[in-house]
Amino acid sequence: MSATYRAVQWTGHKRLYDACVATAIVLFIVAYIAAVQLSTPPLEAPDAAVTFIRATGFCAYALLHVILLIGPACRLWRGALPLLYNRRHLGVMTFFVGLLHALAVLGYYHGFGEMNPLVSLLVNTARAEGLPFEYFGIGALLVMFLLAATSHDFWNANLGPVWWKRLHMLVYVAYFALVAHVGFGYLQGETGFTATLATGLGVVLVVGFHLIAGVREALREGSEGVARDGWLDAGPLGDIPDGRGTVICPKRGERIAVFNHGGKVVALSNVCAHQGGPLGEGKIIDGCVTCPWHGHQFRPEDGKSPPPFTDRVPTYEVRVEGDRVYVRTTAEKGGER
Amino acid sequence: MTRGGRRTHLVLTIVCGGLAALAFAFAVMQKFGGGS
Repeated sequence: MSATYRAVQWTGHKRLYDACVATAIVLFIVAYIAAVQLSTPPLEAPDAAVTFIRATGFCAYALLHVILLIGPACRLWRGALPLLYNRRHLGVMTFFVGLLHALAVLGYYHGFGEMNPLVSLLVNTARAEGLPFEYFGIGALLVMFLLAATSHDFWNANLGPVWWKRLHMLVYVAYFALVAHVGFGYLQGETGFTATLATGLGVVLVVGFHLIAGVREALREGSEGVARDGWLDAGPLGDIPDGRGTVICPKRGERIAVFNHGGKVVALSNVCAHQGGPLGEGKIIDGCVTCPWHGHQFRPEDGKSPPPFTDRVPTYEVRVEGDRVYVRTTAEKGGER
Repeated sequence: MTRGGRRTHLVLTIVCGGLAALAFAFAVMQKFGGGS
């Protein structure tokens, strides 16, 4: 978290993360090429360039699955939350692996004619028989470029978290395009069942996990019922451990995070001002409510980020009767966003 | 995420996930000779 913009706000953790992911990508590509070369008789082994194209394509496709599985995994199991922290870095690297795949395709299949390789790709794809699977790949790469180019907090701050999130939901369009690209391209030339089964399993995992997590979230909507006299029952105080929060879902409006701060109960919007992360699933660190997604912090008493930051989330009035906590469902005056 | 964001997310998941599943199914049919 930084008050100023830099190209990348490097920290030791981010450097280590990026180094590990980059090493894993290189090892994956090398291992794929080695496995293909060693498992195929020398005369039947595919061209090294073709193997490289497949290795980079497979790597980018697998990485996109990992990225897409992190979101629902976090909503279903809190233990996956650390994976979310640098997910944008993973997305940018996935784009670069996909770009490497596209450049290798352009060079190998379209780079030796008289025509410009890009023109050759577009023209010859249109002339080819069957579904033009290359167009799906081009579409996915363009979307991935847009997402990688706008992944920086500069765009998040200028577009606003709501529009930034909407823009980045285009990753699902890229996923559909990539499944079509692989299905109508690579899979058609494969004689065995392994690649088909693996692709199918990937689709089932991504779609299945998203549906389970999405439906579970939808069922929670308005689960606390209608507020009485504007106050909503947030449950027993004893159920909220010190330094932790709970989330209540009013019938109308946004979810509210209720925290136990050393015996004092406070309530803030559950929507983090940074990227809409679920504040109620975070904890109080250094006296501030800390978002579990990217560590953005807000003071429990007024919902403001500590200086020099200027973000703010709405706060809500709280009263404790006996052991039960009640929260007013309209934001406090001056505490609105 | 906001309430509207969660709704958009779920709708996009269903639409794009459904399209991905359909694309995969058609690709399998084409590969194994069941498609047009």
